Amino acid sequence: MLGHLVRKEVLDHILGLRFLILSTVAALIVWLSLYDGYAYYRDCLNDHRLGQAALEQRMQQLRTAHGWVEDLWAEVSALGFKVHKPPTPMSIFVRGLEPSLGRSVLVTGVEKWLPARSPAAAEPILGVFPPLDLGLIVQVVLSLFVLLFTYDAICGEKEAGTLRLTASLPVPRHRLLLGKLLGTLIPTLAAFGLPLLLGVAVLLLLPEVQFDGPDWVRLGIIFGTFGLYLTAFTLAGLFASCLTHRSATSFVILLAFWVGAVAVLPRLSLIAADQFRPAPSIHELQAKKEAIRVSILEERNRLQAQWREDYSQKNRRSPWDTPEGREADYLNYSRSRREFTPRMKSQQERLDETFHNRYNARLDLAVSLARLSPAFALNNAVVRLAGSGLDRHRRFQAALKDYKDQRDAWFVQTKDRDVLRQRNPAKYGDFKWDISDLPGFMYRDTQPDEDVRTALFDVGILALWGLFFFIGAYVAMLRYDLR
Amino acid sequence: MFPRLVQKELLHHLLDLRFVAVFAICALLSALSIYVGSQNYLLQLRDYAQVSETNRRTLQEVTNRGNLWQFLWVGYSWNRRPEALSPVVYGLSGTLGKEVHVQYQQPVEFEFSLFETDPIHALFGVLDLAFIVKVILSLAVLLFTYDAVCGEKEGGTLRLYASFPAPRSTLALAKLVGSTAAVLVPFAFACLLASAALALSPGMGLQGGDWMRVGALMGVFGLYLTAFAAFGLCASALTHRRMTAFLGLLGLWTLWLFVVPNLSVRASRSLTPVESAYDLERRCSALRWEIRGKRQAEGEAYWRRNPVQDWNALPEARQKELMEGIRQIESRWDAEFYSRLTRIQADRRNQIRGQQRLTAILSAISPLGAVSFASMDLARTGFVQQEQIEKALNAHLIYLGRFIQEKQLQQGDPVLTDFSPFTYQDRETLGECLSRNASHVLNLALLTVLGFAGAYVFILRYDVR
Repeated sequence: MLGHLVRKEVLDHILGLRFLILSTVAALIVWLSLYDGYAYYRDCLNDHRLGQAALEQRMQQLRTAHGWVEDLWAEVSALGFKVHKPPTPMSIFVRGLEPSLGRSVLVTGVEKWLPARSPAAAEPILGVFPPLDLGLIVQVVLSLFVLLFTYDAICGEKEAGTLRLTASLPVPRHRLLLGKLLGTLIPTLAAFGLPLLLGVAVLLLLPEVQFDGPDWVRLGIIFGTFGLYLTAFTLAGLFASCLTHRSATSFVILLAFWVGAVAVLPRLSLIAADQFRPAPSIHELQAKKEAIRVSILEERNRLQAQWREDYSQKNRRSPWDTPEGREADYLNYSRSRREFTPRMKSQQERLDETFHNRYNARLDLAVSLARLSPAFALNNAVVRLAGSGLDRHRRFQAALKDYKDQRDAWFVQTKDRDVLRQRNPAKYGDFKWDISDLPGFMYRDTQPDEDVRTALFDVGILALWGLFFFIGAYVAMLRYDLR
Repeated sequence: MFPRLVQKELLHHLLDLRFVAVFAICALLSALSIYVGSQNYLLQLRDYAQVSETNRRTLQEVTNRGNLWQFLWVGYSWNRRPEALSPVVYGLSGTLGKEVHVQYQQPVEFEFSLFETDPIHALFGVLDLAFIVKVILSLAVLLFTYDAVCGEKEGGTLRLYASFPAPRSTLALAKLVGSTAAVLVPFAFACLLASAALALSPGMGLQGGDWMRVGALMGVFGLYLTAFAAFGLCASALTHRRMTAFLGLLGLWTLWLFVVPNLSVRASRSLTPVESAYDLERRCSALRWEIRGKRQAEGEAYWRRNPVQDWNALPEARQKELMEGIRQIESRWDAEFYSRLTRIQADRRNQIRGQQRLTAILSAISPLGAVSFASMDLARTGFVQQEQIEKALNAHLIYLGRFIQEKQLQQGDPVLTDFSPFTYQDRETLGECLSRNASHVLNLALLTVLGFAGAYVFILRYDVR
């Protein structure tokens, strides 16, 4: 009997005008989103290549530069060069935060190594309209379509008078509900899933799109999560339909739920988190770190001035007068740097740690609250899986931090060598500009399994939402007045 | 007869469950969006005050010490103040860079947008009044109007309506006026509530000019929603079943909000490509290096022509004369650099403008394009303001170059305290802004007229049986 019920529901849907229009629009929008995602990825890839070319040109300039030593080192430490984060091919499907996150970092001698020049900042036209991103389309548009498929599943039949007839058949109500659910889910998921699979197949033929084994697993989980999300909304539609006796009432309830889940709740969560666990801004952190740097620098300058005075008194001439004096002056400077830098770093690291703890506490609270919305749970899961969110960005920043340590060590060593050669060439040899051993930066993306585990937590939340709506629909159906 | 028909239409809507629900959603969301937006704005304002103070102190420290080397090589930072109308239209406030590093012989680039420095905002999205109007209220308007004509036919009341001793044109006009008025009632209430929330939010400090802009924004939003109402009525008069009308309108909503704007952007990026920021960086860097090399070569040739054994032994007049020669070389190459840099930047700016114009033209078939461009401009959260600041910054860079050259000639530690750092104040009037956006407003008005004309014609030809 269940088979008959499912067949009846499926036929009811696929032969209706509603299904035809919604599935056509859905197919069109899914294909367009895949095309737009591919075009976006291609543009980002092109930008990355141009960025690498600009970096290569800058390195060539620095390597072949000539002039005053101070100017040459200022080129390296004050103007520096930019390193870049490559785009991820998964952003074709879920763009997540990629368009808003910085992807280029200016490597200089100052502390502020912040990623900038996000795609949306570099081309502001990208930020004017809501993007045609598959993740967003499923989250906003397809969920609305699914609600339209189901909002009158029970109450609509009651209004039309066919529910009594169906109930007169020798079938328990829970089976009736199951029939409705399967009969709606099968054509719905087929209508959205088939164009998606077809689009993915076409994308794979394109040369820039290359996925490896783990990428396929992630993509599979992403599509599964989309399906689970749409199932949860299907069940929400059935639940509302079982709760009401008029399809208009059911639709208004579902619309309010959709608005709340998609637009309101995630945004309110951040405000609540800002109120309960406020975090300092990155500028506040930078200002504090800069204050530490300035205070230590002042102390070093004071000690250096003192040393020069002592030297002048002891030797009855300025350290600048002889190569030995200039060398001793720089060695003293270098010693004070070795002494003070670890102190400065440890103070700055403590600040960093406090900042990150407070920032993460705020983020965790906001995410926990926002997870009450199935739309946010979906977004959080697929963005993590696609690597287009904060996790990959943090990995990039961690790689930068390692590179900074490497680069700082190189800088100290090479600059010491050059300055000493310049101050006392008889002892250290003639100065020759050579930065060929400047360490390069190359970011290789590795996605840890922890991302998948965290994403699965969100997938679990979606499953819970589905279960909640199913139980609600089941209970409401059992108590439904069919007359 | 006409007022009675309009009254009937209005009451029919006002006493409906849909109206109550939409009214409640509108009121709640508009107040909420302003509250959330103003909280966000105040946080950003606090952040701005802090970072501006840090910038000011750092610059003061450098100028007080007379450290020309640091001034030349490190420069200073300037931050853009958050816009007071961002709770109404957030626009590009999250994606456009807020900070500029003003540095000798370096092109201006805005960096460190809010989403870049605090990506949590991008993760959770922005809830401003513009989002509520553009996405949610537009859908609610379609929900109001989709069954205005065909619903009455299905309910059987249209025949009765048509039997009144009034011409069909009067009936049609009454339907249009009544339904549109009913749609605009919750919007007007939402506007009032939003304005009250703006006025009552402590620390917002809106000026008279800002309030006029808020009024203009509400007008633009009202026109946007009226365009949706007009097409809702048109679809309703074109079909005979409610479901057909609603599905058609939902398709149109998806098309207008997601498909057309994005395809316009994609098409305009393909048809009028803009040079990548990375390519621009590469060209600017190559230019700077070329000028640096030429300047260095000319400087070396100058010193070869005017050899100096002992600088301190030279008379002061000769020292000044030699330094003047160097200053002239520096000044000439600086002028060459800035003139070529300006050309490179102007080329790209023109490309960007062309792309934006084409996007606006291509997206004209959707009211979202026009309302987005016009509302961002009115709220000062769009491209135009950023471009104006960039222009002012480029002029400031020329001043900075001259200042540095002048100070390089001074003997001993130069006095830098007379340096005027960059400041910017938007002095544009509402009239200028509106005249720039006249085409967008006209676009919305045309779409509205088109929708109403279609609805009017279809009602006249409607089979009421």
